[in-house]
Amino acid sequence: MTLVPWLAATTNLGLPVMLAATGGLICEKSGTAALFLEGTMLTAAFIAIRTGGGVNGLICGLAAGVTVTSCHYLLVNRAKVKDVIAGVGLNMLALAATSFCERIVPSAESVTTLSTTSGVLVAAACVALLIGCLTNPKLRLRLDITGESALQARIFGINTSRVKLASHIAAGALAGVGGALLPLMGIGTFVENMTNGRGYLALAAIVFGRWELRSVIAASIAFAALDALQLVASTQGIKADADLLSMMPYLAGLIALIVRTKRTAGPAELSG
Amino acid sequence: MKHAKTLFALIGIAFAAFALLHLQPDVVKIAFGSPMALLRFLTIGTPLLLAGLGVHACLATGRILIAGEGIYAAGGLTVAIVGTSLSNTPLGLWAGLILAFAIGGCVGLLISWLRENKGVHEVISGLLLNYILQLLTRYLANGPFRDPTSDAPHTRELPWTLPLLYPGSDLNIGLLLGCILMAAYIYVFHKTVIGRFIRSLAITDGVANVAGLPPKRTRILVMVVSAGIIGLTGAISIGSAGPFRRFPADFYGSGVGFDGLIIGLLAGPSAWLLLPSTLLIACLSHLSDALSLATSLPRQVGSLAGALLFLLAAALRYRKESRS
Repeated sequence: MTLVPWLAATTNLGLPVMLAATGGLICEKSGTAALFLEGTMLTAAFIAIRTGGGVNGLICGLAAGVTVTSCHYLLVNRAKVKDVIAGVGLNMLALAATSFCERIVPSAESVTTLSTTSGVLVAAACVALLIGCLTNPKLRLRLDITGESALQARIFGINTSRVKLASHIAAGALAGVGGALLPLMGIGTFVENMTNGRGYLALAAIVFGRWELRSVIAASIAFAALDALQLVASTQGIKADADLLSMMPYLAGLIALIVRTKRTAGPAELSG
Repeated sequence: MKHAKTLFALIGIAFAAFALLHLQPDVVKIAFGSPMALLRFLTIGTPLLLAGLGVHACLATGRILIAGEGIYAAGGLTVAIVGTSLSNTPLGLWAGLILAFAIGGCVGLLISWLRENKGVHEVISGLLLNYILQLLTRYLANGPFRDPTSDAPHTRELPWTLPLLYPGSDLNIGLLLGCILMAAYIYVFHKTVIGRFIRSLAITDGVANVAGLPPKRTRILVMVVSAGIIGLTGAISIGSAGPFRRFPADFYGSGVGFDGLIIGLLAGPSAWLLLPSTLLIACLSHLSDALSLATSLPRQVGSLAGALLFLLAAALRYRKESRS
């Protein structure tokens, strides 16, 4: 297997997972489980393709992501639905809605794809912005206190609802951009259930990375590298079963959870 | 109101039936207009009844069994492999069913062990296991256990089917088993002391601890049995007459596991509501099939309605719990 196609495939698959994972990290740090990543990415991928791709598709994907996570915020903080249940429900809804709409909404006449370089630049800009926000002591403190104890945060005069809403919007934007990049940097078309569990891999990367930005990014790329194996094997004519190779990232995700999870590692407000 | 959700389910069914009768009379005719259509409805409802039962028991202990879709596929493949391997003995059928239950139980054991001892959330591990089981069953049905005489990727045909309840239909003893299990479950859940302690686990470990029921072990046991029942459901689906009797490589994704989750959530804390919830979801699935036959609407309309129902049921249930 040559290294270059593998690295290229890792980049194409890794950027969406990395962006979704960093978005989910912000949400989890505010004390809400980010189970919605899969549905957010899927919706954003669908919208990005149906709106013609390119920068327009990227912006529409971002908006779609924010819409999905805003729904999650309303369900969790207004309707008082358990965050995990709301996330699973939104994922089911996103899968059903995109599969349904794919059959009745006509495709865009032409879809503008993005080059790998453009994707890397977009992702780098997003991560730089995120690092900028997380290194701001005031913002970081508000996020951490809300995630550790919402009650204490309120005693300190922090508006926890606003912090949670902002973290949901940030998560939606990042996962939305990630979801939009998935088809735009890849095949340039939408396929039913095209995220295929990558949102859950992003979630596994958050847990494996123990809610630390650098570790989460590294874990996302590692999972993507395993995910890229089956793509490279099929294009390079390597004799290996595609299903077994496709299983690798999920297996690695599960093993990673077993090896690295500690009850005390995550924010205390995350539901047990 | 104690039976608000039953009322809600019945109003939902009545409203949907009324709207369909007026808007698409053909759809209702296709779905329920003949004895065979009704038998088909019961056939669709059989796996849902069992899957809903499995998920509901877990929800009652405060755990979410989301790997149902993968376990259902694993159970189906198990019976296909065992049934064709032991085709010369009459034991093949029963060995397949028992092993499907055992395989499901093993997956349940892994998920609950991870949850109770390692702190891995059962939803995350369950979702990852769903993908692993999907790809593993596809690989096995397409590779080592593929029928060499067929071009289509599936296992060899089973030499038997489960005993039929009504000749000429696909309705088999799975429905009978589902009804017996449901009755036993309702009795244990509502009428026995153990059932009441198990139900208390959704709220607190304290009551079960005082009663001498170790919460961790009880949750693991319930998850194992629940996952086993879903594995058995997959086996019953494959062992049915009709389109299956062999495990197709793309068997995963039938939606039974996720429908089971919707049923479990819709039923809420009461086991009595499992039956109306199952009927509602089976009705939805059956009508969406008929709707796609009668109109040009994609059959995904059923999944869409199911997902919306899931969110609605979650909002109703958890809002109520947070108030109490």
